[in-house]
Amino acid sequence: MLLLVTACGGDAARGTVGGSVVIAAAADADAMLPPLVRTSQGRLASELLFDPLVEMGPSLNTVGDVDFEPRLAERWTWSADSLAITFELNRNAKWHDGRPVTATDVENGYLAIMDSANGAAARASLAGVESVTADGESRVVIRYLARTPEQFLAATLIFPLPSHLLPEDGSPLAMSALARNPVGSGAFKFVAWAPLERLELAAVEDYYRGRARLDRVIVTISPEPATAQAKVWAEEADVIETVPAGDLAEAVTHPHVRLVTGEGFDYAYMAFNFRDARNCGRPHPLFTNPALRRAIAHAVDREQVVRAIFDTLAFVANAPVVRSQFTYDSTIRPIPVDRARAAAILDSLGWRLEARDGIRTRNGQRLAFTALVPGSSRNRERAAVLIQEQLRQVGIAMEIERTENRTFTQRRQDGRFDVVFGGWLTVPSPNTLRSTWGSNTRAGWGNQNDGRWENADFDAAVEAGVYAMDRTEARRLFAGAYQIIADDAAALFLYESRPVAAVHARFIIPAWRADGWWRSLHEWSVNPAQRLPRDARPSN
Amino acid sequence: MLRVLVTRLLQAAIVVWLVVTASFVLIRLAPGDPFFSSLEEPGVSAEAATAMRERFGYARPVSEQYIRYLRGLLRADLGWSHSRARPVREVIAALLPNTLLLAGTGLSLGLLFGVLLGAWQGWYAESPWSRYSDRLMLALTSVPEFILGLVLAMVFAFEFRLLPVSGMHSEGVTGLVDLITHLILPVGTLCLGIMALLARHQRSAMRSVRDAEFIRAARASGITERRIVWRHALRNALAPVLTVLGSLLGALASGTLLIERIFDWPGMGRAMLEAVGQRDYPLVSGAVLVTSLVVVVGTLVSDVLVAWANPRLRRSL
Repeated sequence: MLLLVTACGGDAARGTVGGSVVIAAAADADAMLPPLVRTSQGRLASELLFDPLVEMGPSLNTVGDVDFEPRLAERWTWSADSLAITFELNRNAKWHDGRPVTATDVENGYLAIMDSANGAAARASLAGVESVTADGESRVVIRYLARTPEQFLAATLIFPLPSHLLPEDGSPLAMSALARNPVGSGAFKFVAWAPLERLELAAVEDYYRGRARLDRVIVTISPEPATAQAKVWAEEADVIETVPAGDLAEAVTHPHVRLVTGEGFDYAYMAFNFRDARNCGRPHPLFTNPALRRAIAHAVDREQVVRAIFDTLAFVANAPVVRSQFTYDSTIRPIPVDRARAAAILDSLGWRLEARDGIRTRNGQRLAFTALVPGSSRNRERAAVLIQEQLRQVGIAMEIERTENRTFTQRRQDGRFDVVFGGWLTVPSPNTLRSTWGSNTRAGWGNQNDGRWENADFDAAVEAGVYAMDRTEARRLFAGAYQIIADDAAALFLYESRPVAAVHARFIIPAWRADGWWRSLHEWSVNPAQRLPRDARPSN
Repeated sequence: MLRVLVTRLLQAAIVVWLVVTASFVLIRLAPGDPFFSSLEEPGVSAEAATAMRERFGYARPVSEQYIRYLRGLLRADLGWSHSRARPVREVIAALLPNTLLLAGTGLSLGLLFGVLLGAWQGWYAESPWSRYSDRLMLALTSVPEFILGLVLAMVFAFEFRLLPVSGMHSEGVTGLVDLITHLILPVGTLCLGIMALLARHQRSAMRSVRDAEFIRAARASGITERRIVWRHALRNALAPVLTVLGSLLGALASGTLLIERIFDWPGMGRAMLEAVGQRDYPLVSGAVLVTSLVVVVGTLVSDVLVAWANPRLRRSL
């Protein structure tokens, strides 16, 4: 299947200025001002409209500052104690209304994130920042509470806001005129936003980093994946972010469609609950036993599951890490598939195959549990069905309970499940391991560790990795943490996706970034020989 | 007559209040809230969600939220749509005309073709073409609208590329012709369903009228066949169809919801469906309020039309 897919980045030729890209998105943007954005559709819009101080480089290395690239900040200098960084703003940077971007705008952008009333997703990530202050018109100082390997990452999260357009009467930012008619400093400016229909952005002619080659970016909303795909096949739209593996054969029949593959940031897993689903105060009657968890891991052929669902369009995951993260380690040893070993362990635990239905029992109790699966994920549902059959072969009954998405999340957070087919859309920084798999008995850790798995060695390895100043050392320490979680079978890590996008072949695209493909949109161009009528320059 | 109308209006107001109250409570009984992260992103903090809940009053008792909502309604303030990042009133103002255009066109065409076809079928009930077309209408009434819509889209948009796949406008194209081409498939889907249902009712009504005493009397007095059909038979046979029309409005509201979803039509139904998924409480309540108002008013209009078509009923009012 991979033969159908072309990687991007090899186009040497560059198209001329002009053209429109129509993106078929699954949902409307939730907001366009960076502090208010929570969805990927909102991020797409806000990151085209607004520039951060700096941006992470293609290596997605989050340690130190070597792999970061300037955006609004042209350069930066560290204080002697490394507790402050001074950023020099590009003096040519302007808001889309023509006013210059100032250091006060950066300060206000930071304050908007820290204002709890805005509910900014980045607020928690900026907890290590003591202050952001303007030092003159074009100099900003970020002061930190402590020196940490990833402290520079904060600068990628701070997007300045136009101070002259912020509400002055204390009214919420979300309800301000700026929120609906955003004036940014990015490569594209806001044109129109019709709810449920389309969002239109236009290239900024005097953008300080050079005008985008495209004239317009249009986001159309198609919640039904089949409709979104049909729009791309019919040349009504140009980009669809993810083409399901089952639809790739159809995609290649359209000569104007180019498939682009990249690396993703999401992984899926089957996590055990370590607390009783009916009474969280009690340990789970089955899964606190590590031998039983290992027996289940021996019984499940994850490679077979992943190939059956994705063919080659996903990687088998061995740990809570994806290839796009700099801490990815290919040497993690998973618990091998060995059904005979699984059966032997279960026998040794007293779970005997005596019942007629092929399910093991012990003291009259069947070896059975329920798997909570989200109705929104067809892939996880299919994985659950395949694993159900594999477990049945060793005498384990797994009942699948498919639930509506919000109910799934609520039950997952409440711990009302035996096993959960979960997934995380992670970020370049490996530090999120503290919240997703760290012990929730530690302050600030494990608040998203739904299974309540606890392992002091894992916590120690993660903590050491988080504070390792050297990238190689950080990788080594995190690899240790990954091996611990794999050996302890806290969960069966299933797959990390390799998303395949469909893009109209007339576009010349430089790169497809795993952390946000739209981040290179200002460099996209149209092959002049393949222009469509909608690529004509707008009259205004 | 006026007293009856006032009574009916009061009844309608009670129905709308009940519907809005039920939706207000039911959506809050479902798991999650507007700030409950459905994204599986470790970066989205629970702290942020808690702060937002406090700010918008969702941490308070439902009864208190309800009273605040009713007070807002008195000021024509439908609240803030969290998923659309704008006031609910603005969302509805942007989307309601699109839905009315879609549903109104579908209903009008369905009514027109359904009545004409049914009248013809009923008047010429013995004709084989009448029987064949009646079977076709029976088949059409049995097909759910979303299936019909998908089939039409597959044939006319995906396979033969005769019509646009979805949306209301093509990129870079403006004008009425473009809008009409985008309307054909969703309106066609609605229209076929309505036409089939009304044609069957109209057919049986027309058949029962065809052999009535007053038709024979009209014929005996030398009135032309065309005049008998249009002025006497059809008008009398319309009343049962118009009664069905009133009850059809509720079904039309739910049908439009699915049609908008299939064809990416930016309307109220789609907004309501997505708002339920996102637990956008104010938008759900606002959309339910407006939809129930439209249905109730439509039903009232339908009752008036029935009375107009049937003088005996008009006198009883």
